[in-house]
Amino acid sequence: MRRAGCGVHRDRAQLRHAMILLLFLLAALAYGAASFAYGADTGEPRDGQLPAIRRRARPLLIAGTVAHLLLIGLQCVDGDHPLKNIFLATSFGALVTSFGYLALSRARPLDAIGTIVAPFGLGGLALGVVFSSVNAKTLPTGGAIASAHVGFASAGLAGFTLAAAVAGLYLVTERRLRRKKFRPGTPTMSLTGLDRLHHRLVLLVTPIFTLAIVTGVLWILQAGGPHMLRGRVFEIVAAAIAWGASVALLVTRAAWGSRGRRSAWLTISAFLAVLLIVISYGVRG
Amino acid sequence: MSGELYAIGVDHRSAPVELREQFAVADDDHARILAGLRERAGLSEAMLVSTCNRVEIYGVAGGVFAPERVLPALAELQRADGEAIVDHVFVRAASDAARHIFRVTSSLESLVVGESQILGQVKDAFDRARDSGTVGPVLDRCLSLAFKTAKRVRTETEIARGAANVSSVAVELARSIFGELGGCMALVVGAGEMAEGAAVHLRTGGVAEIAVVNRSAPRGVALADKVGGHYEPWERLAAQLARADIVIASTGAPHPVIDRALLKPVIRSRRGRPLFLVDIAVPRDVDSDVTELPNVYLYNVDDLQEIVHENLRTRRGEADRAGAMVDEEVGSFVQWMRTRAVGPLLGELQAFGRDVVDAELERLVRKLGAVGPEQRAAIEQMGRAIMQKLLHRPMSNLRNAHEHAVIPTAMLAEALAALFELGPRAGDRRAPPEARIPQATPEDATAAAALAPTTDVLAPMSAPIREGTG
Repeated sequence: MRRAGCGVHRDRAQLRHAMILLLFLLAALAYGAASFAYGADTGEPRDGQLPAIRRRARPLLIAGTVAHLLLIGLQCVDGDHPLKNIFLATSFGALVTSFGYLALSRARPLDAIGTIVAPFGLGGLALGVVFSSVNAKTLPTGGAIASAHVGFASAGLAGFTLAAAVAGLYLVTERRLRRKKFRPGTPTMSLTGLDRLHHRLVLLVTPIFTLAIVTGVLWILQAGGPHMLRGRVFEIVAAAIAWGASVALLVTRAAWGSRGRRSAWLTISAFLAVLLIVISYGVRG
Repeated sequence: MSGELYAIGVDHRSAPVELREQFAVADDDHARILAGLRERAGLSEAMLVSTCNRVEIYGVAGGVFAPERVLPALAELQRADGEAIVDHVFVRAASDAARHIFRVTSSLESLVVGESQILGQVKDAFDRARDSGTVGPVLDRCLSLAFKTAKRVRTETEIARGAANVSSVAVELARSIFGELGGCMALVVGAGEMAEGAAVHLRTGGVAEIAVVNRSAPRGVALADKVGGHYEPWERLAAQLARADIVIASTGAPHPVIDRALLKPVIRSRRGRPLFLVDIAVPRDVDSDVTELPNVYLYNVDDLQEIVHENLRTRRGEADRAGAMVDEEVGSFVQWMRTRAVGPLLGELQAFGRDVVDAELERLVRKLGAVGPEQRAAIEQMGRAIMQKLLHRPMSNLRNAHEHAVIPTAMLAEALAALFELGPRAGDRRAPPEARIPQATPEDATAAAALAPTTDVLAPMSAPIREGTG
């Protein structure tokens, strides 16, 4: 009986692994095709074929995101949840980014940002499947605080990615307008619309990121005491820079109405600092 | 046979404006002119498109029709000089006329290819003609298809993409910066003709408020009244610059009136709001060093012209694709015309075939005596099948013939009507079938005997025919 039970369990695990592989292939194909489709239409429209390709980009990204979600669900059943290691957490962050982008771009012409979000989803997916099994550095367990930290950090990463993508698009559009290279009628959000959107995203993500920092510090203190903080100086400094940049953006906007290029660069700085934290975790474990 | 479609007129390519304007027809005059044209030029259907770039008559005429009579008739009705226009008139008939109408409606024949006004103008002309009762089935079909084609061209190509004049480009750029212009304030510096044109475009574009700043108060007030804005004295220029989102500068000043020194404190007070400066004055009104200030976007008349040229280049590039679409749709219209023209004749041919089968069937039944219903149905079915197969090829060839073929449609139709004695020349259509059935000669009977099928089913059918024609 026991042997038969083990056999069933093993069969189910094999089935799950096969499903994970299949979903990985599907999600990778869909994300890859979406990246191509979004990329094909950036810049000046060139011929009549492009709009047809572009129209397929969003459904492809939706397909990739859904397959990615199912894959993460199966990984959780298999014990590989987003809290387990930085790669799985990054994969989860990429999924949240895709969902966030799909929600944001429903009523806004933000196709150019799809050129960043779709490859980001593909990268996160690959990290969560290919690298997590090869080099799975398990995060120290810390119960509810660890879960909260990883959840807030993933949401923060997703929010800053989207905000930075919007800010990047703002800078590109602004530069083209300033250099008189902008072709009016290009289907993209207006300059002030982009400025407003990345500000709102930062407004939304800053409290989440603040909670991620607080829970992160608590987690480290809980796991190893204050001396553990010394080993995380790089991450702490990067987090402080990211937080400082986003708060500076919000304060200068509220107090002096500051906007434009400076605000966009602050958003991008915050994102780069968050990215450094993720990379540092990935490298050091 | 039904009439031929014609497109006759003058346009910006064929005639100078001095001639075109003599023939231009006011909206209220359409009904009178159309009625006059039908009467004097012999058109069974007619519509008139009169815009600043073209005066064209689209009509249908049958029998002996002289298209060159149309413009003189119009000249007479308009009391214009008919002689002067003769060398400038174009006349297009049949599929060429349809192609012309489709191309005009799709804005491929416009001075600015892809402009959107012409579609509305042709629609208005069509409505007026319909109200006057001069639209028949041909024009109705032709224009409906032309409107559909124009819509297809606009949605499937980039022929209408991008503005084609400086003022529209300025409005599009403003939209790229501010999105919807409903919450924007525009400041017009100067009160010249260019400033007025730009202000009107901005108002049409949805700008909420327009302020006019000008050194001469009466001219400034006049422009402000014209565009639904308000006048501000020249001394308040800096204050208005602090409020404005879009600035149109078009004064006659010999040196810049807006420079970095003036704008720097203004920009500080704007709390990061973008400022879009459009300098359409020559000499320029805005010093180019203002672009060093943050959130300031300056476009002068050359920059705007360059965008216009680029847009027009794109439109011209798209014109070939649009032309192919038009040709495709013209093809379907021409096919409809062809079917419509030969439709009654083909109907008569089929009726003739049916009559032959019915007559021969009756003759056979009489001869054979007792024929059961099943046998009768089988014989009838076979007779009809033979008739369909025999007539299929000539009918299909006639339907698919066209006016440029070696034997044009009209000639083929005439030949068919003559050979089968169809149409008005067939005499009394109520004559008994036997009278209209061609009687076979002894030679035909011999040939029929040689070709007679040997199966049992066909044998009784072929025998009476030989007998009847012998």
